Amino acid sequence: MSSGFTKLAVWLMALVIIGSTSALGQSSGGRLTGKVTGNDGKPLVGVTVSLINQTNSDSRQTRTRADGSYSIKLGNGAYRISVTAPYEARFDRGKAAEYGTFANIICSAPQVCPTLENVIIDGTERKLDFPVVDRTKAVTADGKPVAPPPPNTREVRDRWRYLFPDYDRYGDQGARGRDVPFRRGKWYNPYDQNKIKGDIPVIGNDYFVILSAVSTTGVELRRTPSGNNVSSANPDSNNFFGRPESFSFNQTLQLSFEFFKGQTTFKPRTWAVKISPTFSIPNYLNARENGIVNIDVRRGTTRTDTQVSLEEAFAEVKLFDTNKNYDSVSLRAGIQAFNADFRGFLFSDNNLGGRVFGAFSNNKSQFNLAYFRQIEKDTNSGLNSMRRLRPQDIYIANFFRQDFLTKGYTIQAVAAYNHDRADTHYDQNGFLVRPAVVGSARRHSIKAGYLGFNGDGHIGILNLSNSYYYAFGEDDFNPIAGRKTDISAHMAAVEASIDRNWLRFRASMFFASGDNDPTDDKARGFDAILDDPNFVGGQFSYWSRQGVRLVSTDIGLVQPNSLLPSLRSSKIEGQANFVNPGIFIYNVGVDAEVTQTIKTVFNANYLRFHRTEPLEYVLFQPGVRHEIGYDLSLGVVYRPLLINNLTFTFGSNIFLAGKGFKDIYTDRPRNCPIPNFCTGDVPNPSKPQYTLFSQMKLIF
Amino acid sequence: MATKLNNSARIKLVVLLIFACLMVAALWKSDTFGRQVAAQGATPPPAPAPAAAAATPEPPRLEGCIKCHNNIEPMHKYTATGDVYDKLVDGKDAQGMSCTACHGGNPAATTAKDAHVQPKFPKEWGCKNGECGSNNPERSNTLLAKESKEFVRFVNPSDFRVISQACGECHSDENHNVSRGMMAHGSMLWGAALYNNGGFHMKDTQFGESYNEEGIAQALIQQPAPSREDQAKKGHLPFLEPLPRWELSQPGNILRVFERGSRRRLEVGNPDKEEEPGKPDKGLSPRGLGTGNRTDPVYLGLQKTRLLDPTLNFMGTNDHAGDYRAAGCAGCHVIYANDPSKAASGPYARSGNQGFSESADKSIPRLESGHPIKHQFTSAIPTQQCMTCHMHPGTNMVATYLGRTWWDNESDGKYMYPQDKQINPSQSDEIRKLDKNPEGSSLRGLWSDSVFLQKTGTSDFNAQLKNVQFADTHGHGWMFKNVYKKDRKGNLLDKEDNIVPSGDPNKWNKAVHLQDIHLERGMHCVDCHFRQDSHGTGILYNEPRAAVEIGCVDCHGSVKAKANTITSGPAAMPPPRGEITQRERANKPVIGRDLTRLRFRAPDGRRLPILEVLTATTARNKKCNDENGKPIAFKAGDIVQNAIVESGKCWKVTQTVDTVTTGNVDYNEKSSYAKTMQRDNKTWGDAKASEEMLAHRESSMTCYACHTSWVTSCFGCHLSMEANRKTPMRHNEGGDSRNFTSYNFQVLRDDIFMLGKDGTVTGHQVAPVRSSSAVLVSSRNQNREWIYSQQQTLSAEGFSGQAFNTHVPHTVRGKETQTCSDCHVSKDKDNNAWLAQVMLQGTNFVNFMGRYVYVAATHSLDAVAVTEHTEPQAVYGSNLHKLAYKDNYEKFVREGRELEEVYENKGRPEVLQVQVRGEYAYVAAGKGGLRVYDVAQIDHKGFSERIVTAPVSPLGQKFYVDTKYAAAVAAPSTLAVDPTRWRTVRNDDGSLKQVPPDEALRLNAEAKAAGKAAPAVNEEGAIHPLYAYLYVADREEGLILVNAATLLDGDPRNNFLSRSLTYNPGGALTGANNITIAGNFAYVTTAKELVIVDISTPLQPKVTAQITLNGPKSVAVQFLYAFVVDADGLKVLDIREIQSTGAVRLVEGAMVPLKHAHDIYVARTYAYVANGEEGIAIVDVERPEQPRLDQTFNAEGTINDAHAVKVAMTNASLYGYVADGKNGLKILQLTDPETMPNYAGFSPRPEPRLIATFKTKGEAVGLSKGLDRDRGADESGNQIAVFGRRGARPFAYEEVMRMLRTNSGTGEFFTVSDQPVK
Repeated sequence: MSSGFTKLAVWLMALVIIGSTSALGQSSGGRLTGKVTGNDGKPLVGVTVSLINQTNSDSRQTRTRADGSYSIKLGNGAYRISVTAPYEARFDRGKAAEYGTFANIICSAPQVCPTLENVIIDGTERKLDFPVVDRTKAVTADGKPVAPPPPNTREVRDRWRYLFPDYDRYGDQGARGRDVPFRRGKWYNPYDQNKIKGDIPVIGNDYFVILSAVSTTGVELRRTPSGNNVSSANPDSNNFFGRPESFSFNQTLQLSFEFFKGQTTFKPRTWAVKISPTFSIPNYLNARENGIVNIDVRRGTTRTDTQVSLEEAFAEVKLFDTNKNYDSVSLRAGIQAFNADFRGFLFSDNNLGGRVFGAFSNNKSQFNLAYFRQIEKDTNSGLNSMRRLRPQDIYIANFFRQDFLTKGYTIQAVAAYNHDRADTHYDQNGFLVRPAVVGSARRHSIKAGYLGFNGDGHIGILNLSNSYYYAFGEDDFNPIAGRKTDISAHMAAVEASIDRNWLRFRASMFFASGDNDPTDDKARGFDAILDDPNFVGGQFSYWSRQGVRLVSTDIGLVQPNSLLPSLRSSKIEGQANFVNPGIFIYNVGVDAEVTQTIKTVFNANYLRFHRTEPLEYVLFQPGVRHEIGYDLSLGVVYRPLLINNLTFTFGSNIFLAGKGFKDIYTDRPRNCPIPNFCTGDVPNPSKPQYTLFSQMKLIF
Repeated sequence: MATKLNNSARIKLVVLLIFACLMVAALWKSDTFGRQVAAQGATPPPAPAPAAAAATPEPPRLEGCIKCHNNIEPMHKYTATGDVYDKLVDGKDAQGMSCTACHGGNPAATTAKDAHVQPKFPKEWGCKNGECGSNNPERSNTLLAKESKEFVRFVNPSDFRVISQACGECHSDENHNVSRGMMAHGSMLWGAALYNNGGFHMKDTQFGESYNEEGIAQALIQQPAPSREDQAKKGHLPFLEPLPRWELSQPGNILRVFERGSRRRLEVGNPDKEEEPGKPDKGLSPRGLGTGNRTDPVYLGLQKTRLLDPTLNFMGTNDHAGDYRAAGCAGCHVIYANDPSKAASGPYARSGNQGFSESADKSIPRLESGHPIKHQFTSAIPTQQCMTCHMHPGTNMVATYLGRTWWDNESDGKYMYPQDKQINPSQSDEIRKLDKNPEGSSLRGLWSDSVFLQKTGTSDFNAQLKNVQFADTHGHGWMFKNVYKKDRKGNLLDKEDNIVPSGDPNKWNKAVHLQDIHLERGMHCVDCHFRQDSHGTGILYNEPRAAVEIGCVDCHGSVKAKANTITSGPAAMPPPRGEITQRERANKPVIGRDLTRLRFRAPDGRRLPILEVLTATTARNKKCNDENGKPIAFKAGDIVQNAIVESGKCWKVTQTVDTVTTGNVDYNEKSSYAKTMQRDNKTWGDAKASEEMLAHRESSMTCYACHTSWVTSCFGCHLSMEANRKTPMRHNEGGDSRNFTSYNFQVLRDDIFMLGKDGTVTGHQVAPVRSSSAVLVSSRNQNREWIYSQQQTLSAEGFSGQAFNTHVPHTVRGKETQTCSDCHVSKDKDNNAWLAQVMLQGTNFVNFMGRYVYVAATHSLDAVAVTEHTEPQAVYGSNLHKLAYKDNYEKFVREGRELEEVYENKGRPEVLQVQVRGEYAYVAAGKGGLRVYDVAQIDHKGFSERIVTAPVSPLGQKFYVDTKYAAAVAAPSTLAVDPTRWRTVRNDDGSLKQVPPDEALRLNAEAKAAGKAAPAVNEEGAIHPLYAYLYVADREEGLILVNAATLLDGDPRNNFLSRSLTYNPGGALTGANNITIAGNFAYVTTAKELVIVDISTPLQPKVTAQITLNGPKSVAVQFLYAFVVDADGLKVLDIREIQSTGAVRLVEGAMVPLKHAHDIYVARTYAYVANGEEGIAIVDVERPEQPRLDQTFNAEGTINDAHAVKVAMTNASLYGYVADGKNGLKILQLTDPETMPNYAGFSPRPEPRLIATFKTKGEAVGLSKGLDRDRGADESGNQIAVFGRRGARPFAYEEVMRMLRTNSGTGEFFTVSDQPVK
């Protein structure tokens, strides 16, 4: 009973509060009553009487009762009275005095006066009787129903869906896929205008939806050095190195759903939400040795796995416009793509974080203040593994300034901080990646700061892209050094090119400092946070594309999609390692726009280690030389329709091992003390390393 | 018991107590008690009327409004019987309307707060503490559409949204007509802009503006639907749709940046790793047309620019003198103070131009802009009221009627730009200023400051000016200048055609201000455009003149008879049935309204007819004074017009027939000479001669083809779009978005006259033609990169978008008309250049060079930046540069006038000659043959290589045609023309389809023969196939034709050029060194001859004439003559018969010896010859058969290797561009408003001055010619540029010949004298 009473009391109180507020809003008023009759003088039921306050435009309605009467309470003021369709009131100009002192009768024709104005409500009850006619029952003199005149206007509430007339400008309906104006989109055609691609709002004028799907199909055949490990797939094999070829097939499908308020391009978005579930179906690898696809050699040499991930899941809100140039500042929180510099040297990932970004001074300056809490990555697909967060915090602030010194050249300053805490983590295939299994594999934390200065654009006829980073901080226990180390490392990159009509001649250089003393308390090798660079050939070059493992350790000489010989266990799952050999890469290249639809990219790189001491130390192999080798690559991008919805990419590269590389990957000691004694199988790198890949990208 | 209360019970008790208290409080506040409280309050309600009071008459209770607004003027001044009310009577006006009857609100309230309607958007209406401003807010844009109906009505009961509750109650026809009229829907503006620039393919407009009661856009539908016949011949439209969202518009003009192939969209702060430095992705959207930024800028402009708005749906911008006005009926019928000139404002002139109120209503603030002069309707609407809308563009007919046009941004600029330091506006300044005045130059000038602006136009300000005189009204912040009578050399003339010396302090009073004579006599717009012209008929029309009922003859009569006083214009409507019968009996036209029956209300309340045909009695009683105050003598039969605006005024309307009737007091010999001249060019004076005999037939000529004193021409409107501008949409739903297009007129002239054939609605008569702005477009993206720069547009069916239109200039004068020699060859043969202009062939004078001058520098193609980047785009080192960019100019001069910014591409193997058209440069590359360079990215700061010979390898396109030795290349026109576009045809069932151009022409010819409406609805003529080719003069191979049409079709994948034809009959063209295309002929110079090749069938050329010369180098064609330079000098060819018989005559004795002549360029009456080591020879060719060396200019010997010369115009000045061989590029200022008082003439004598130089690496041997902005047709009468009225076009060849030869163009060439030959 007690609870029942409490409920009742709360309800009553709520009622009273609501009642009193509404009463407060309407401090004084009166009542309008009256009777509505039909043409024949009989009362009409169910006529909606509409009243509009003439000063504040408030609209009120009431319906007549069975006796034709109506009654409505109104605040003080002047009202316009009419009835809604199908009825129409008939006020009588002759009775103006009866209607009130100020009565104003509005007529659309003589004797057709459906509106009465200046019905004054001033605290008393007013009575107002009037007749109405049913317009649907209007008849002409000879008894036929009056047909309404054909409309001479048509409301166009939605100007987005104007159907332009068909227009075939050259009489060929847009042959060979040429774009022709006024072509109507279909929902299943992602290229032309489409409501589900955000061209047309889904609600009102400001709410849009973008649905998209990206399918990427890749096949790759490669040869990279691989260890023979503990159990060779080939029972007769007794070599230190295994058979290096492998084949992979990769199918990913990214669906994405985006909903936003604003406009596709003509306004910064007021807010947006986007979610992109991504499926790796499947990720297939066929290697030729055991222990590659999984630490468990019983798993054999092939692996097929699938992965579901969210590569984007964020909400964005515009905080404010900075000026009338439509520069604005927005906040984006959630899983999002972010690239910290022009070429992806430091951090380029889709990950969980918050980012305030924006522009000012007519978009001349842009900035980001970003924080990322890394989601663990899936080992094989590289996608976000939605299972756990990693104890790693990344802070990045950067600032862009366009037209620096000269028009068309943008500079950028970056400050970043990577706090990667001590942790233990085994990857999907069972390998321990944190801490890395090298030296003293102990959990350790890294606090690394980065200061960078980058540039991109052109100065006169010279295209220029340049980058410099200084890394500093500490690793509380570097596994190679076996001690706490202070980080002090550098990275520099510069690419210069000149365009000559359809050709671009390029030369570039990349440098990451190496550590000359792996065991001291200084770590001088440069490592990034999570790099994914497009440089010296990008995805087409061997060194950049392939991960090369250091056999006999569980670390990589270089990680896939990285240029840094960082000796990490894994780029995406491991920790940064600043005790590494560092690298010099010298590149020349030519890009050619062969046709409107085909672009080719040729690169020749020469690579050298900066310092080999860390390698010698890790491999227990003295005398590793500096030369890594030559990396030649050719890439072709083909867009048969000259549009993005279908793209083919073909790449091939060949890596000719240099002396240093051979030193690492040959099981024959360079200086065999006894001739012929050391002869084993043909050393692994003596055959050129290569990649052949092709990719098809379909975008809806 | 209380002690037994446990906690829970206590809580219950407390809750109950609180509940009880709240209940009491609520009831206290609610009505139950409130009523009593109110009754005891300070403002008691009116006491209930006791029954006894009804017995004695009580003074009517006044509306509460009167308490504050008691002195306000009655809105209606007259009763139906003509009583005049000066004040409200019992709070009501002459029609018995109380305040709230129109405005709504609460009539019972006695405080403003209770009485006034409250807005939904108080901030926008200037409300503070519930009190809102009573003036119209500045730039309210679409605010009226968003407001509540109640409030709109409160502000302006005549607004179309609420009109049915106010004005429309009594004026229902007017309500219906006006809200569907042109001034409301404005469709002609949108239609012209869309069609001329390729945005939409239907010439009859499809889009117009209208709103329903809720402020929602609505389509207007014509009921009943007009017949095909009425659509075709009367310009009636079946419907008008609201503009579609521009975000979805699909670009009609596929400039390079709109082509397919974009890869990505950029994100703020998140760089794309794939982006190549120095080669940004040029695309606007990786998806199809109408997605992302791949939209049509024209649609965007229609929503956002200030050029085409506002219409009567919204109020004026109320931010400048000239912008004050209301919306709806009040837009015209309630007068605002906008212009203190008597001519423009008539009786309202004394109210000034600040939009101040003079109402007796004391509650209206006095010194606050944006109020009407009085709270009163009038039909006496002064011209200035019309001007508040019809100033768009500033070359429009109301401006010209007032004898005004836009200022050119240069003349007398030293008073208009800061003298001490140039203005470098900040970004926020730019946006703030452009919001008020959308013209880019104002950012650099003083006139963007409203205090300064207010000074201009005053007599004090004008007194100091030496070249222009400003009007004292500044709608949109613009400057309007007066137009004065000038001779062709640019000298001011007085009434008697005497030259007024430029130094004369009283020159502005002596020179004739070319106001329309009707204005001069005191007539305002409404004295000619009566009720129907202004209100419309409720029919939707496609062009303004289709909606006009009045014609000149309606008042002035014809050569044969006095006026029948019945309107005869295209929109003339049948009168009431009874009147038709009467007219039938009187043998008068049955269509049209009788102006003697049309009455208006004079200020004294009388209803007067507009026209009166005086009888003996009425002639005696009629008393009126002329403009000099003298009584006018009337006689029976005179036609008299009563003035609507100027009270008590009337005019005797001159009858044309009287002016040609000898003995009549109005007889004028010149009038008779002109009007009765017969087709034999001899006989005149017989006014009764049959129509067939007359040379100037009323049926084929508009009156104003001759009775026009001047024609305005806006050559080159630069529409420059900026992505990063948060600007409002000025129509429909409103709201802010990106992108704004400023507009920047470049060359405004009043010195030329052009004629053409009028459109179908107006009967294909001969009518004056003007340039419709010659639009050039540019656009900057979010990174402020010029993704296209100063590009021309193409109209939907393939003509160049450098549009023209036939129009009524509204510059009628009695004396300053066009005379015989203005249209025919004069007896002195000194008007060849003038006639070239009249026939729309262009005169190479107002050409557009733009920011980049393309120089053939032997080793490379150089694009040299020669102007400032912002508006006004002053040429470096020029007078305008000094005015508008003082600091930059001084630095430039200090540094030796050397140009610095250049983009080049190395020649392959060399660059001998260049012609740019659109986004391509055509190069004669010697052994390299023809080479096409892509110059689309010339202004794009993101590109490191801005000129490329081939964006992709030869596998993907072929931008060259190998020839043995290409010495020269000619594009048939600098205008982009696309002959391959199909034409839109309406099927019998009303549906539309496109057919090949030939098919469309055939269908229309068939329909015309059958008297039916044209199926090819745009009624465009043919585009000559010769415009599909490039013409190469090859030293060894002769003439080579290359089809270049694929470059224009928006598909980058089919750009493979190939040779279509090689032509060298019998080696006649071997040794070809230069080529010029003029009409159907190619003029090829070889070592010994000038060979003229007929290319009227391009792929079957034939040699028409071969003229032996001494090493000819270059040819320039102007109308009837060609000028050629060879080793002897300049020689003249008479080519008048070339198209008829093929005869070409070397004019004997017409020779100017020049030793090193390389190149000739003829601009109006001067030929500019690049004369090698002697510099530039300027030859006076006003009389082509007597050329005369006027002067040689070599800039003190520094121009000493002149190879080529071109001329172009920027703002008010003419510039010469010289390819000076080893010295590089030289720029000369040829005319200068600062130093030459006659700079604005048709062809002032140039006074060259070297202003800038650029040293090319190789020898500068050629220059690209500027864009021909005044060339609507070629020498063979082929139309090149689009015409803005359906069916309108330039003269065909035969029609030109008719004006030159007797016997309808087949007889002898004749000459004319302006003095009647007795």
